[in-house]
Amino acid sequence: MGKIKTQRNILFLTGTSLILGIMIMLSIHTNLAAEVTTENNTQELVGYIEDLEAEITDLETQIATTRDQIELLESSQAEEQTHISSMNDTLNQLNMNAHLTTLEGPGIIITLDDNTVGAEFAQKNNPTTYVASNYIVHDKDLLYLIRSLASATEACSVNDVRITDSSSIRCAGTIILINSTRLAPPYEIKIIGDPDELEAALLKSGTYLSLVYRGMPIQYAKQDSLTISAYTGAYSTNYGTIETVLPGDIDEETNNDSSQE
Amino acid sequence: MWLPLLGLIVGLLLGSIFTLSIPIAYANYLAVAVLAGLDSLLGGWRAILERDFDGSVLVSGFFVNTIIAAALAALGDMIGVDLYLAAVVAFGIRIFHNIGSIRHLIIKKMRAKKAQKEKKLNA
Repeated sequence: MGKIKTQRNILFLTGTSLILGIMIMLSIHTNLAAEVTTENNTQELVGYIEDLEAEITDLETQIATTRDQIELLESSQAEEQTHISSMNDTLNQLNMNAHLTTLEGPGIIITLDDNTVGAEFAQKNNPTTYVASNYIVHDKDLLYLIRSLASATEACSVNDVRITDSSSIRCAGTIILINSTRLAPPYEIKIIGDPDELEAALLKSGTYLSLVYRGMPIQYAKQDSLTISAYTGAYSTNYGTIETVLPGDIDEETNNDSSQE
Repeated sequence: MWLPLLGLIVGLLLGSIFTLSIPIAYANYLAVAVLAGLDSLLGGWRAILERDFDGSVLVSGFFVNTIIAAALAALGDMIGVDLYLAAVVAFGIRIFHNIGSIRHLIIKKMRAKKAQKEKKLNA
């Protein structure tokens, strides 16, 4: 083996050693870098998780706020419900005042008929002085009788025709018109109110006394319970207009109503 | 005789100074290549001790083995088989084998030297 060859061999060995050394360090550095990257990634993921957790907390507060809002709305809805029910009560009251509801309660029933017996008797005995109109029930008799009891009356009907504030009682030939319904005797007047008060008012009224004096068959009976049906006609307002009321006034009125209740 | 060791140290220093790193995806290939290179180098040392050293064999073995090892690992990745493990095992066995041989040879040499010394003393 020559010396030159040996030197060349050693050179080769040195070169390969050098390259291997570089490769080893390269490998080590790569692994270290990978670890660092992984750590960075971990850090990033932790940050991401923390962000998400913060977001969850945010959303939870939002949910809580929304729940509060829902509760608020529900309570305001409940308030509205009471409002509506109080308005319904008012409506029912107004309907009753307008005679649009069937009423039930204690009262009095007055029956009034033509004096047919007296008429026949008078016709036989005094044909010259006999006046037929003296022996029949007139529209005014009914009108005055009902009006004389008005102060104690809550509801009133004649032969089941409801008397309202705008009802007319008129004479049309041989019959009586109430609310443009034709009625014939006998007349049954039903009135709801305090029976004793009604009786007192009836006995005090001049119309009753005159009817009795004229010999008209008139009876009355106090009732514990009687039913008066609703007004079935319509109210028409052609000329009057409602004066505008400010919403605040309405509120006040409703509040007053509810406070009264 | 100490020149190769010096070369290795200089190489390590150079690698430390230029803190280069390759993409993580290729880290496995480089590791396998390092094993192949280490095997070649130890083989070279053993050949020196056996007085059978050939620089061309060493250099060609070094480069071919490293490149082939890295290429095999890459192929393994492509076809979904961890072929680099096969390279690691194979080169690992060879490295230990080489080290064992080197150890034997060194001990033999030392004993021969000792025997020679004793002979000299006796003579």
